[in-house]
Amino acid sequence: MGTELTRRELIAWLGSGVLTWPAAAAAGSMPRLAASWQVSDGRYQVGWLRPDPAQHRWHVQAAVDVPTRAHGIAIGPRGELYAAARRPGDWLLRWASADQPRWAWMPSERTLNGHILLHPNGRWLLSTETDLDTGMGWVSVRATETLQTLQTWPTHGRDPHQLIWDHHRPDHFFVANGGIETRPETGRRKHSLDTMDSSLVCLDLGHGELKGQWRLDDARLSLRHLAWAGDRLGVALQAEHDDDGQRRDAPVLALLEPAGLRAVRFDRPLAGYGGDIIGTSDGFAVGCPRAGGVALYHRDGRPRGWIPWPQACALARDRRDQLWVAGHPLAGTITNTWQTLPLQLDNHWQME
Amino acid sequence: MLRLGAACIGAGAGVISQNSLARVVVPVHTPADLVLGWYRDAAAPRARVFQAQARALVSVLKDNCDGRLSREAVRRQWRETTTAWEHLSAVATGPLITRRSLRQIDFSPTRPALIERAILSQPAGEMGMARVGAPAKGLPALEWLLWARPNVPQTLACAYAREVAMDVQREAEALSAEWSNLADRSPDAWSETEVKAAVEELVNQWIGAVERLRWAQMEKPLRSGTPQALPRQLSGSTAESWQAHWAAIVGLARARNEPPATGAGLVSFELYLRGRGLDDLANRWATVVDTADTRVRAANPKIPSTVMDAAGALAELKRLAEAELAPTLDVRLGFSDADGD
Repeated sequence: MGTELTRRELIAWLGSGVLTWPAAAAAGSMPRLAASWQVSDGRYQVGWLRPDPAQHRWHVQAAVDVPTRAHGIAIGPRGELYAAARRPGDWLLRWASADQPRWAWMPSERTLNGHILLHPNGRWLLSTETDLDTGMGWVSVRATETLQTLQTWPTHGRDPHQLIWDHHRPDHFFVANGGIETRPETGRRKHSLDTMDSSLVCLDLGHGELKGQWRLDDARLSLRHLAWAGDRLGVALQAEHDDDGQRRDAPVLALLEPAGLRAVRFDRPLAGYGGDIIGTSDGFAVGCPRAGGVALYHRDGRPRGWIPWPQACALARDRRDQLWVAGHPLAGTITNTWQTLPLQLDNHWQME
Repeated sequence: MLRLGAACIGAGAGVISQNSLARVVVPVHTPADLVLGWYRDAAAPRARVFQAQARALVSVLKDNCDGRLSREAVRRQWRETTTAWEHLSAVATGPLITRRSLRQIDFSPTRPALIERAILSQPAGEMGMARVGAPAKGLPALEWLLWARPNVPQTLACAYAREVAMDVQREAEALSAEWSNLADRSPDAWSETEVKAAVEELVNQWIGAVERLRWAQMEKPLRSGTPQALPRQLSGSTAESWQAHWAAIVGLARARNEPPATGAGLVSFELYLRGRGLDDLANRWATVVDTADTRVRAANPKIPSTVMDAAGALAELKRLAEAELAPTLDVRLGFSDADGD
């Protein structure tokens, strides 16, 4: 495989900041990340993690128990945390460490799909949802203080997953419709994959108007996670082919370009699953837990490198443009990792 | 094939007890024994019971609408029918999924406004009811008609209730027929791929049933301050509903009576484990199931602490199933299986 990066190359690629965390720790600058996880006793929690170099492990700085597994996380302007239940989910959380958690419970006819997005004004929170009667996707615009729904718009597809603001147009946002049919009576089981219809849509916040909709040629690629690298929008993919080989070799990244949506190949099999994506100054990083590593791409989609990392999924970037990866049982940067045990970190985390 | 295992015999309520451990002959069951036993000795008989109860419900509603039977008698029959349905559907597999029966006849929450509209539209027969949306029909709609709305004989509402009951009966008959076909299919006719898919469905749906009971039906209504979301709350049948669900769950979890011979009878997960020589796991499994059994039986919707205790025990059971039972059955469910997220 041509692109497995050496440590030296990785450090060069990741930037010229201080990369040895013991030094940073001495300066008291260990970063804090918002995340969700499962504790070894089975409880699910949402909270703040910080590396503890002295103990060689991650330290839970603050946490709150949540009733089911969480998924998407957002950090509010005053440091408060927002979290959504993993799909099919039925709770939303707003939590500032010093306060009691505030919960919003979904009505029986709706479920959350796991991702939320804060408006830059800090007053609105968007959540992706499924109408259980029709199976179709919706985005709800909620008040951050109360989590109550103010407005709701159709996503023009099934299984809406992550959303992201449009860099180019204020109050416009993209939603990845995963396109996979699920049903309330069978939870996360996938139905009718031969008719799955995944798409990327752009909606306007004010009226929910559909501004654009894009699909890949390969209908068995589910569009799920979104990130910007400069002016390029990247979409992490999940392959749903019946054939094992096709799934194993399937691309995990698509790019939205003026000509449309284009899936890009990597130079090694990635097991057809990109669980998280982040944009860096040089391109994209996609967490591939099934392939056991992070795939790095240039902005134009050319492979840039591969970081072997057991169960790598959640990705974050610090102010030095350093990549932070959560796998199992290790999480950290390229140069410093710490044990996550007894926690099993979930798919996404966010740098403070 | 037979295996001498440390299975347990002689229990109070038909469950084989760990307190009287004895070495008994435990057959080695295959995955096919597990699913075919489930189809033949659990699902198909329960579908027949549900069919009979649904037919009785239509009959008593007819008598009630004609003014010959009290509403209380209809309510009793609704409870019997609903319990039979919950025994069948709590662990929803096979035709229950392919037919989308839960959506067809147990859509929750029911929508009173849509029921009122349906009453006025006077749908008749299968075609007429096909035009009525799921939120306005099925057992929850009947519950609303029987408890929340005066069900006066010889009215449009009563006629609609009869149509809803007949709609439930049609689904019950279709389910019974499909389950019978599955149960009657020769074991040799099942391919390895079909058996694997059926085991995956059974284990997933069993774990889903545990989680649904724990969270959607017990813990969430309490935590979210919405007691009206408790199952069958309108008819005051919440505890009965929990017990019916739990009976279906525990029936597949724990060994009862003597182990069946290979290829005959319902094979519980516990017996499957013991047949594989996994006595340590089987013993831990039995302990966790028994704890859940005690707590679910004690759960009282009016005493939240009992409900939370039951929910806690169910969470523990789910964890053990995901962490150790599923891998033993070669069913992938692990935490890192982030499929779809």
